[in-house]
Amino acid sequence: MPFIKEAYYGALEREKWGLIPVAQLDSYKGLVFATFDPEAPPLREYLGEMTAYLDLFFDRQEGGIEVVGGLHKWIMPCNWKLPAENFAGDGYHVTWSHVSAIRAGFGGDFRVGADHTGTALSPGNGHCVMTVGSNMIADPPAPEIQAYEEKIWPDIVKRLGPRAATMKPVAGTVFPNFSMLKPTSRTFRVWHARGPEKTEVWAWVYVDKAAPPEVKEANRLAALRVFGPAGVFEQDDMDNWQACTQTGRGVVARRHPLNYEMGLGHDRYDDALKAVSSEYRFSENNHRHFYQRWAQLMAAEKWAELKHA
Amino acid sequence: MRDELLRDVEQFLYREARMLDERRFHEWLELFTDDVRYWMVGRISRYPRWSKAITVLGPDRRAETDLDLEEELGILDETKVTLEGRVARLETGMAWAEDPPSRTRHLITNIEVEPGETAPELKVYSNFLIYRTRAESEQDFYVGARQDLLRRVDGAWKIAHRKVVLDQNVLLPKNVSVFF
Repeated sequence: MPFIKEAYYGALEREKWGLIPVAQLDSYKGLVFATFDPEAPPLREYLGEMTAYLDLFFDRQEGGIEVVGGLHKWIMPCNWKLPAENFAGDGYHVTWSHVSAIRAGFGGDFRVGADHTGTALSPGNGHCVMTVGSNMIADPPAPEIQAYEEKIWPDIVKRLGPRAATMKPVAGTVFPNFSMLKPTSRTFRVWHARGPEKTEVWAWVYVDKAAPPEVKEANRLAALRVFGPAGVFEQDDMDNWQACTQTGRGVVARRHPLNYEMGLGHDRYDDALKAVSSEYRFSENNHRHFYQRWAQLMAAEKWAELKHA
Repeated sequence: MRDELLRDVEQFLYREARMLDERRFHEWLELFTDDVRYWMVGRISRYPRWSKAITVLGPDRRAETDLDLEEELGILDETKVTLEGRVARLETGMAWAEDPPSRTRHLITNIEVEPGETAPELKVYSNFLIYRTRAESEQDFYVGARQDLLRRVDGAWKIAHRKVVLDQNVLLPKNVSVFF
């Protein structure tokens, strides 16, 4: 510090004014998490049963994943919870919001097929995962990728255990604002709340480290053509989230509750999946768990007041 | 470079800009060769190697130069087929990002023409400012540069390669749903 004696009269205690350290820093399968709250539960406890589902995105092969160099960063005029809930549980929007891209050939066939197997899973603490049945394709439609996925499927099941054989995760949200996606695009992203109507997205594209180069390149192309600021799926999402935010803040809209009853009473704890599971693929089971956890955290003064949900 | 050729290329780029502003996308697709790569990259904010701003970063963590342009990921990386798919999507009547459509004004400037590597090809540089307004009062500015490879095919110019550089690090428009 220049002129420290003169300007501060020798009174500044520099050791008291350093950078504020995070209280806890930990990682899971290469994903780094930190918190400024010393009383927050440690990472493994916070993630709980969600770790098994994270493995199905990020640890399917030896070496886990790597990210494609570079990332997408952009600002969306919406509340951060809309994209977080969308990735958490909104399978229902796909065939309406994204029908234009599907009809133009950018989807995979799993989205428009007649098979509706799949569930909305809440493994606890507000974390959410959407799945499709294990007989379904849950990967970008490029032939290189689909051939690769078919080849490695038995290895994934062997590596990750019997639960991995029963379903394929397609999207999810680690509560509150870290989301990932597997079919159409392999992307994970952080939704940074920048104010009531502003969300800054940082979105990466990931691939299995062990995948051959042509599969990695096919993943890069599939990812940016469908998701990200210019993605033929995601550009419509941004427009919808903006409209939801604008409509929701209206004077009259605020007098009325929003309906989140899809599948209510048709969900139960599944012992094999270790999560509260919807009966049918399309359900607001996950939305309800996400917002219940959010409401608990907003109402609590301390972590000690909270039960693990 | 002959004046006549420069004027010809300028007029070609202006006509293209007007096609986009008038949403004549099928005519616009005809301007591209079948083997085109239509590629858009963003820019990342990085400290140059000689920067003293962040002393905790080792020199290996810094860019080689202060103009390290290209993300490896890219924002668009399209073929003729996927560009056609993007236009087909707009015509389904359910492409919500463009329904109602963006109103755009493409301003093209700083046009430079250089000979290409082979005789019937030209390297063309241009800058753009695209104003986009939509719905009631939304507005965005897309500003950047293009590097085109123009090829003479059957007496007309076609775009055989287009690289678009968008200058923003964090994109301020909510999406990139217009063409460049």
